[in-house]
Amino acid sequence: MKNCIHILGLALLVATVADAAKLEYIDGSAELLTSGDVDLYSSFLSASFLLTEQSELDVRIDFNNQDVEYRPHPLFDPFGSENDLSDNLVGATISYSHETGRHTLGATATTYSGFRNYSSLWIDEYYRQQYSSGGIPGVSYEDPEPNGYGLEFSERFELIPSTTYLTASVGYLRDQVAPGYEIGDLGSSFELIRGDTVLHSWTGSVEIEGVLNKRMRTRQTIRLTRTTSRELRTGWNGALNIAVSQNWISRTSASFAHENPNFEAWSVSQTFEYSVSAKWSLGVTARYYEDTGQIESANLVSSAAPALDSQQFYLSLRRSNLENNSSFSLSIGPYTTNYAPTGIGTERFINLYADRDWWWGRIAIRHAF
Amino acid sequence: MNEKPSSKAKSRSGQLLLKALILVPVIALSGCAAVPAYEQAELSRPGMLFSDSPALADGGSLIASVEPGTDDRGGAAASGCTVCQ
Repeated sequence: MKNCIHILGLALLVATVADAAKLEYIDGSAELLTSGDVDLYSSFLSASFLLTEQSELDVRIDFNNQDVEYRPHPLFDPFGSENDLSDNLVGATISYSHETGRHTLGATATTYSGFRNYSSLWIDEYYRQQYSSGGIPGVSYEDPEPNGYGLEFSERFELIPSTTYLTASVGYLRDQVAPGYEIGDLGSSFELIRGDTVLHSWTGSVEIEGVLNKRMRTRQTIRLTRTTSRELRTGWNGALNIAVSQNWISRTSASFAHENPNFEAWSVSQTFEYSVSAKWSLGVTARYYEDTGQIESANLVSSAAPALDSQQFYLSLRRSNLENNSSFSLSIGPYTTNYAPTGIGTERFINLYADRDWWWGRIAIRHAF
Repeated sequence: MNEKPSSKAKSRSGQLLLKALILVPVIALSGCAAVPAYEQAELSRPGMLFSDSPALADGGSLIASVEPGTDDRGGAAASGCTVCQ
């Protein structure tokens, strides 16, 4: 029902705005990540309207689908049953920006309904099978309705005309999540305890984009995120694009994230793109990711993911029309995820944190009017 | 819920953050140049731009939903496991 309200509300807004403003461009994307037992699909459609010469309005609708073959661990969860899980996520985003000289102020509101990743869907099914039949003192299992909304404000300043931009943003997100459950030891008795159902997050970021010379463009971002019951997360993203020659472009990017008490993650990616003609280009990308495992506050049972490393390799074909800034791209390639062995208390999720061989593909379009 | 981090860990994190806050803008700005418009032809090629449009960008949003350290959407999804106990 909430999904319908999101879409209807946004459709009404689009219809109203489209009547009074100039449609600048539309963006769309359909993306698939599939393995033997998990299929993830993500798509969105967005439209950008020029309200005045200085102000712009963007509206966007997201639709994601997750199909998961849930398999309990036969030893640690002998009474669990296999189940085919499916969930849809629908989201809507609206952004407004206003340019004044070298400053651009922006405001974004976003909302969604549905599970944001397949791990949460899997873990919720485990808790449902364990605790929905009752019989344990304390709270009882409740069907979750994950959803959330957020607001973000940004200021973009043109430090050096046409080349260097500094963007600062702050945001707030409220997530209603599928909570975790555990059996708490009260000394003389046991009872079922539910974890946080609502998480509040504050984020702030600073981004600087500039050119080093007539062939190099760079972007650096620092992001801080503070979420309920967690320590501050610091993250950095950096990217460097180099026009190596008339036909070759190199794109390098890297990221690092840290969160106390002991979570760290980093990734590095390298793309080489060859211009086949004025409009067509071919690219090849290799990417590596590694983390130390999710923050764990385990008692008897933990659903925290063990350390993960992943490798991705894909080919891209892109058609760009320089005259009107329209583009189309198609990307496809394998992706592998490798988890470290699960720890004590996490074995029941051994099938969730199993190594997987995936295929990833995406088709995307931008059409300018 | 969470084990409280030690003051040593907090101090290490603070130092890391401070270094990042100082180093990144310095690195980024130290080389930034005012390239005149007539010399920006190479920089303006579609493959050279940083764009939010997937048609012009690398990577994908679904990968980020698998890797907790990559997710930059903020909120619960980007803060480790949301249902960990």
